[in-house]
Amino acid sequence: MNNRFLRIISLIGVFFLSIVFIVEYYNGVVFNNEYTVLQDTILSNKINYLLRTTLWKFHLASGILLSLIFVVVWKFNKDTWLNILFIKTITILVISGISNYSFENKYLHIAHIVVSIASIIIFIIALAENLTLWRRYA
Amino acid sequence: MLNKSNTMKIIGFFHVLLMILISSVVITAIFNITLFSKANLIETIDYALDVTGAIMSPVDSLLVARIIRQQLWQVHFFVGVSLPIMAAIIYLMRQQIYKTKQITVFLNVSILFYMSLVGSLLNFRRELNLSLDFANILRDLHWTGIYIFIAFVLYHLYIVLIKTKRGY
Repeated sequence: MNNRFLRIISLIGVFFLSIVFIVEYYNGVVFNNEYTVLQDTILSNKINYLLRTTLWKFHLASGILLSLIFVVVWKFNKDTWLNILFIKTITILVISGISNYSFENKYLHIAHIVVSIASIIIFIIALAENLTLWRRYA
Repeated sequence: MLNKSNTMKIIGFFHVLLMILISSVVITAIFNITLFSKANLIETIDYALDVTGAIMSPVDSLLVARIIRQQLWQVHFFVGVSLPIMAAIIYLMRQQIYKTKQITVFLNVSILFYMSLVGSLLNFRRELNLSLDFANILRDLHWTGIYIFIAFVLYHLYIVLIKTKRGY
């Protein structure tokens, strides 16, 4: 039962993870600060700002839901130092993300980026550790 | 030389990667159809016009919306064309291990190839000078492929759940 439950929420987790990354790509590359769809800079900036804000809301909602899934998966897993480190990093990531969304501070933004890179690295290490488990999914 | 165990690990890795890419393609499509539909984008542009006091004709608003949408579809296109390649790698590796025809995986690869081919034609319809009618047919074919693919994914998930239930 637990195994099936974990598989289903992992699938939902992948979906949220993809939303987080797609929005990051859209806002970082497509609608970055230099994006101008019109020659009128003020109007262009306004359109850019509106599109970016809408997308960031999705990034925020998906990020929070994803972190909740991580917490559920962690509860079902062993308390290894890697899992504990990962969940602590995710907690900092969510707090810095929400704070950055609320206050739009430069340092909070940098902290969010640094912690997100750290959490990705830990996540990849954790996946590599469990590589043998992937045989069942292949 | 890769042994069976290592090959299975690589297949597992590609499988997870394929899952992330498929989710990305689905999400970009959902975003572009709902959040960034032409109507929604025109509404956003009109709001920006109101706020900044600028003036633009409805035709120009539609043109700007189409430019924005084009850039968003590019992400869908590039992720989409990488899917059949990834699926083909998985298919070839699985065939090497099991030494039997992997019919379900082969069907999946075929659907993804079909989708990316039709999608590529749609993406380059202006460069290829395709008529509007033909582009509409291609769009319908792409949608049909989506339904087939959804059916495949549901079947795949059903099999996984059955196997999990049996403790496989």
